[in-house]
Amino acid sequence: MTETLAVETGALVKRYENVLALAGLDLAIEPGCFFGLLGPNGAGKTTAVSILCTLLRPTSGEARVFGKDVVRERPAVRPLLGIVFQDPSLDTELTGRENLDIHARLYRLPERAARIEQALDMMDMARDADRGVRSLSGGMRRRLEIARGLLHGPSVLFLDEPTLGLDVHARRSLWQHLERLRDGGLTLVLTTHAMDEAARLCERVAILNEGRIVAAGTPRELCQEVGGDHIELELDRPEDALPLLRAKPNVRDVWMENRTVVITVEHAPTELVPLIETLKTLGIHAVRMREVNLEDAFVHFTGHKIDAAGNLA
Amino acid sequence: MTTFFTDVATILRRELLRYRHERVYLLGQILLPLLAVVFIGFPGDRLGESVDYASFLASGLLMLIITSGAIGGGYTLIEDVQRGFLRPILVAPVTRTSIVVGKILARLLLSIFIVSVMVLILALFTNLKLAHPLMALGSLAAMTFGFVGFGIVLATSLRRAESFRSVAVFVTLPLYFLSGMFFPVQTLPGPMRYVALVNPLTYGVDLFRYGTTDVNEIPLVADGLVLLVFAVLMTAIAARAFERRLAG
Repeated sequence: MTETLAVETGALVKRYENVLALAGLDLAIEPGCFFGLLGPNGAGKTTAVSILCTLLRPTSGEARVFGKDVVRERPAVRPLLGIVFQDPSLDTELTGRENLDIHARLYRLPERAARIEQALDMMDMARDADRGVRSLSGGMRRRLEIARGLLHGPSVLFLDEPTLGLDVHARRSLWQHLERLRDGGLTLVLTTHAMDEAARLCERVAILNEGRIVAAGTPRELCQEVGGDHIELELDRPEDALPLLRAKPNVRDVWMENRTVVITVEHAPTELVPLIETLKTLGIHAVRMREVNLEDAFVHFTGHKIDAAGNLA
Repeated sequence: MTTFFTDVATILRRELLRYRHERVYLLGQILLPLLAVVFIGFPGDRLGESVDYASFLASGLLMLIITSGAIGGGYTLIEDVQRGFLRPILVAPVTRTSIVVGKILARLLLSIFIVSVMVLILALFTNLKLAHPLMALGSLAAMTFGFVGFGIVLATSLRRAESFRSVAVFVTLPLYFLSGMFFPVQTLPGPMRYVALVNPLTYGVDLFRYGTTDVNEIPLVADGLVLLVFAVLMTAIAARAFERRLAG
């Protein structure tokens, strides 16, 4: 090994009574990478993060953070970690600043006040830092949690579904704040079931399904691996279109999304006209073409669609 | 070792910041024994002229508040673990023992506050006084360490809130009644008196009553020894149980 990896797991297994949460997870994350761990709810994302953060012991296998074993070298690993948990974990009885102050003391940081100010500034929370956490919006709480996670200058920041439950505006704002961290050399491990989030923030992603990695690479690589283009059609009688389309040799895949027929073909510009010819009796309302995106790749590799709440549809 | 105390101080600070908002809870903790003394203590006074029952009961009730609060405090620590509130602390480089000790010290400061306010109020209409403050404090500390520890051990073995409550009532009621809290141990019938003598709470109540009324039934040296062993043992067992609970 030439360089120490930021995160490395080998055949990581976690079994709860009769559920296999991780079925041999192999991960390798380079230092400085913004890495996305994608998967539906129950795929094992949170379990993986909990093990890497020393909160959970694996049943078997190995996990290291910057070369340090997360089970055997816990005291050495903990100062390297920053984490924003999926569920809110701020003390709601305290103000934002008090939350950060307790955190700074737990890590025995020098120059607490200055560091707290800096972390608050980075997340644009300085103005609201002295309000009780109870009175803050979901997006503000998240930013405060990220400020807290960054306070002690961790080498890896884990974000477990950071935008879950946030409205569109708060999500966008959070993404902008996270993008600012890119230049700092920080390694970021983000778990999410939102493919738009992963596509926007992550340089590399791994798709987790039933406790295993089923695909890994840059978002672009995964899309290329799936290949092809999508044609979306809105029809009067979409049900009748499916058997017709399935019979066509150039159609790789066909499915329905909310009464819209989605077709995968090798090259949409050349396939479009013959397809429309086939379907013109079914009442075509709209035709759209698009390239394969990460969401399609996800469906391809897991065999599942995922809904907005992260459940398998 | 210095980092241990730094960590304990941090946990303590966090707890105290949280208490700020628990005014209703504090008020309840103070009102309950006050009402009990008024409704039970004064009528009880008429039973016999030689015993000052109101003062006797007042000191016992204070111990009741302290111990039941301590058991509850132990429970909330485990509840915090279950709800995930403690995770930011658990991923930080602090030892588990410092978390337990910090929690207990916070509870102790709360107990000292409650007892101080209560003694001041009760002194107005009973013979309660800080006769031996250090003795009262010693009893308070031992009871807090011991019973927070007890609460932690109980909560780690009973994960569901309902089972914790029913078992806690089942276990603590006999502990309370056979501790000299409400009646002197000497007045208990034979077998019950033996139970009372193996109940660590008996010694806590006795020392505390000496501290606040200048009356005691058991030699103070015996009180001190039993309480020291109880507090140290329970804290150690609780720290182990806590560690094991987290590993699971």
